[in-house]
Amino acid sequence: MFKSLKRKSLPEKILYCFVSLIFAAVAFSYVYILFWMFMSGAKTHTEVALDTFGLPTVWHWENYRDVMSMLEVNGVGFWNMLFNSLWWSIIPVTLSIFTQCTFSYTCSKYKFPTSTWPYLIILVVMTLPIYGAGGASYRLGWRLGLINNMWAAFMNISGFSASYLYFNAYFKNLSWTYAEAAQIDGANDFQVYFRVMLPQAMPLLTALGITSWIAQWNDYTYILINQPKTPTLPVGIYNFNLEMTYRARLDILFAACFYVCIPCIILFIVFNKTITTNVSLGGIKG
Amino acid sequence: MTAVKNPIEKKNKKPINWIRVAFILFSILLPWVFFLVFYVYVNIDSIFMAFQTSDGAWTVDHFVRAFKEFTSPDGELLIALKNTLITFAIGLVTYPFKVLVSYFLYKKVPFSGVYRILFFLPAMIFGVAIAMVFTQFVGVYGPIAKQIGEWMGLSYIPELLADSRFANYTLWAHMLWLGFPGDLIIWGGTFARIPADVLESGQIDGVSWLGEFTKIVVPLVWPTVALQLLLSFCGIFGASTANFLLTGGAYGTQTLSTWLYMQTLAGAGDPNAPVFNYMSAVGLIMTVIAVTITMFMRKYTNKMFTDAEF
Repeated sequence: MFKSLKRKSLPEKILYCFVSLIFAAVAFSYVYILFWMFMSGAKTHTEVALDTFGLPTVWHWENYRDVMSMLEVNGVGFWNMLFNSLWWSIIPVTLSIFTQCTFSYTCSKYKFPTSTWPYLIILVVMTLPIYGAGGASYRLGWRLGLINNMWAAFMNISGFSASYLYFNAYFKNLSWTYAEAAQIDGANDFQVYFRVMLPQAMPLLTALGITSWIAQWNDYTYILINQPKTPTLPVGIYNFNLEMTYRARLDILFAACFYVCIPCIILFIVFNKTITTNVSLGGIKG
Repeated sequence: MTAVKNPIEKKNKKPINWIRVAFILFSILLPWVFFLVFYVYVNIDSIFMAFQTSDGAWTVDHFVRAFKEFTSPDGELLIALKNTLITFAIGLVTYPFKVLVSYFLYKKVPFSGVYRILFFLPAMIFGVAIAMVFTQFVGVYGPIAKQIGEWMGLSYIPELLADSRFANYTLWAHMLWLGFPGDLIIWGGTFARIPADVLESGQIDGVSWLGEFTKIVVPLVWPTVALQLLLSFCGIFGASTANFLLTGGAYGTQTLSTWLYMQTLAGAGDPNAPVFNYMSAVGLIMTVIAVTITMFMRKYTNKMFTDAEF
């Protein structure tokens, strides 16, 4: 039945099955979170609070419709939050990933003063973290007018990040002969990059882009501090939960939570292989 | 690795290729400007802020206050430091198990393809939602709190997240539960690069799974292990539970990184909030200690670190 067990000894078969059982229990608990969210979103508030694990006596599918009108915090509704979530995830991630890719390509393929600096700087930054700069960062954001400003999404770019290292490793191992062939055909450096080299890096670009997008879509930390007037769905749900002391609707809350999870899960299922086969760290000896 | 044939190296006899110069500038200008402004300037400003009041006057009062908070038995920072170090230690102790999870997935235990996808769920579901669901699970109406109350012989159902006797343990349980799969992406990619014939020759020689893991796989992936351990030691003060979402740092569950985040949140709305200066001083103390640990670790893991490549 299982190819992986065919050539194993009996103790190993038992071990593999035992490990698989443990994995199944943990995996079930993760799936159950999703199912529980979905189920609670179709209960009444009282049922969620008092019969936490029971199935709904009546499935209130209207909650999934009502969440769009009822999820509102400080005058910002569901659709605005959805727009904010898309805005604050798509723009910074697209710009950052493209910037990191281009930056690392140039530094790995061209020799110029400072071309070796980013790699060293990123290693130093990764190994020497500086704590407590949140206040200074907020103060700078305030001075530059980036607080509660939607256009700050265009300023949320980082070229010096771990992704640079992945791109750097990729481009270092990518043969320059492709570029030479294009140059012989008359392509300039922009054309070589955009038409020849960048398309080859698309699997890695997609893998890093999707993982970054999911992290950004789910993030609440930056928006909660810097953009509280344009809350994303996670921040809106967080605030909605805090406000629930006087308008308790756990059912609406969990229906909203379920909605937020859907895009990430679909994306991950579709791009699962691209993500898991294109990112590695640290290398292999020998 | 392919040698890079670099046309610029032959530049001396050729006229300047302005398109190339424009391309290089197009590629590097933005990252450098953003790095200098949002990283270098911010961190230098943070150091200055640590020695200033919110009015800009020079002072060391923040350090005196921080020292008291770090040394007083009831000090918030001492509690946060203790929780941070315990959280870090738990992460360190459970690290080999997380690697083993990826190893067994790589060895294709039954249904590994399904687990490989499902184990990513904690990263797919946003933390706020998981925290809310978890709060319901361990709440007084859930089975867990009731069971624990019975085990401990309590006459009431304990509030696991709102009782300082239980809150930290509950947070660590939450961390272990969600962190069970470890770094699947990193390890999945790393194990996939192990040459199949190396493992096959071991199997022909009759090496058990444990022997294969400890004597063949671990030495092969050691650069990744070394790099991850080094990075985790460097980020020791970043170790944290989900205390911000689950307890708000109350009931003795504060950690240093959450404390810093909450200070920023408390000061948001006022660019000259005094709390920014105090947190800068605390952050500077943490940075100095972290740098010392990093230097120490680099010295003793230098060989391992130089073996690592991305």
